[in-house]
Amino acid sequence: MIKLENVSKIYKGDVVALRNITCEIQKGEFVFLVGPSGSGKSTFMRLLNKEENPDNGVIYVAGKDIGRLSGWRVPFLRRNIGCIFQDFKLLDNRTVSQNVAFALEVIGRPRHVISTQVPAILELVGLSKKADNYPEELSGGEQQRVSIARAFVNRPLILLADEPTGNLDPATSVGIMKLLDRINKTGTTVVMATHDRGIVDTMRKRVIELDSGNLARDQARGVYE
Amino acid sequence: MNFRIGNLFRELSYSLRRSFSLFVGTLLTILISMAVLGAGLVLSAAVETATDRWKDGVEFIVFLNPDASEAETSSVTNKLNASPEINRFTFVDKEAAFVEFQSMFRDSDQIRESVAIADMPPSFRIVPESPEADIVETLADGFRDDPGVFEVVAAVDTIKDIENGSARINRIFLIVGLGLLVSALLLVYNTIRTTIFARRREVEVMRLVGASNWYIRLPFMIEGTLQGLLGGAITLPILRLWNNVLSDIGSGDGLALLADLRAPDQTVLLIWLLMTALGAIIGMVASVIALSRFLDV
Repeated sequence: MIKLENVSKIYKGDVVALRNITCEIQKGEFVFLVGPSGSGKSTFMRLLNKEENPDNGVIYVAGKDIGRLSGWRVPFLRRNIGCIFQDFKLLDNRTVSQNVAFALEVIGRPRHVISTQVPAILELVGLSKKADNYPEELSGGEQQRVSIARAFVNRPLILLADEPTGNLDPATSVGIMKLLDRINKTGTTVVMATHDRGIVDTMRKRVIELDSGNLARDQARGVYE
Repeated sequence: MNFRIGNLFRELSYSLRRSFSLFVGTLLTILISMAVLGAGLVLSAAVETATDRWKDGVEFIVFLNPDASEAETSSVTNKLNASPEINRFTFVDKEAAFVEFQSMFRDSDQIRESVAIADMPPSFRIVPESPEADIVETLADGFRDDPGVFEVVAAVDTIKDIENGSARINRIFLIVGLGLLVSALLLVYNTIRTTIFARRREVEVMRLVGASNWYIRLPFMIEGTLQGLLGGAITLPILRLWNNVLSDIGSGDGLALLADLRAPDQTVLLIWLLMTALGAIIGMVASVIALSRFLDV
């Protein structure tokens, strides 16, 4: 599903974000990306979404070399990748259901599809009763659920989660992880960058550890360490 | 382009609501610059119409009474033929004068219908050997008291002053208009830049969920173009008002030298269309530049 071959990313001033990374993530896997701040986790995620391009190496997503994608095809790549962030990135002037529907509207999904898929995904994340609330009326955990609903409503092949529990208390984080695990069980590949030792140690999924841009560890059913 | 018109206009309306005062301010600047440029063009067209009679070196015109006899007309013709200081002249009879009058006042049915062929004064359009003001004046004076002559109008320096003056005013209009145009372009550029900044969260989410480049860019482009288009379109009443002011100035001249200082309505409409199109182009160009610089999709 995802394959990196000798991928390097160097920012201005010779700051090495990633150095010679080679790894492969299979369809339906759940992978934790761990490492200290500045180790290259976020760069790793941005490269998969083609928000940035590597300086060296090749990245394959769903069998395609994304480095060869022309600009106008990038949106089509992104429709197969859902993204979740620590700060939720919700639109404050739209309700919960409008936030979720937005992801379908902007890619031209028909209205009847939107009107069936949005309630279904809100049901999945347990927010049916909050459909008409605005983000500011929700708790942090609920806001993250909306963000997950928006990322998953288009049924992407891959879900990238950049520290999705970073702003949440431990109890709420557990709820979010259960939701991500449930989504993973539908066959969606989940790549999650995190600092949360408890979650990684509890879930015992594959762990890829980055350190100063190097691949320090790639362990099946791993722990945080 | 995979999007719905309804969604597009909703995005546009969000955008306009967020920066409405900026939108209006920019629109007014475009309106002023287009109005100044358009006013220059209307003035130019009005002067062109008013001085049409004085084309091809015609320096003075001898108008005969509408009921001048053939003998009186022949007398003036003979006098012109005999004068070595006259290079050439053209006789404009009642019918030709009527046609010219109808053409001059083609926008005013009331004026056109108030005059019949019989009311029109025939005239001689005269090109002297020398265009010197003193000589023209003396020649013109020589016809004033002739039998059958109603009025002698000399172009002399007045018309030249008007033509030169209008050229100078036009240059000023053009320079000020172009300066304002550049400021309008910069304002649209900054408006779009501010709008992109105000909507950065939406744009970021659109990018992440895979909205096409056109879906993201089009509302901003339409906003810029709309500003220019509306700014240009609202110039119509201003241009018409300006044309009326010019007409009043012409009337104040006693209907002699600048009897028709007024651009034809069709010309005003053409100038308005030109200003509207120019406004739209400026708005679009400025927004495209702003998008290429500030919107990374």
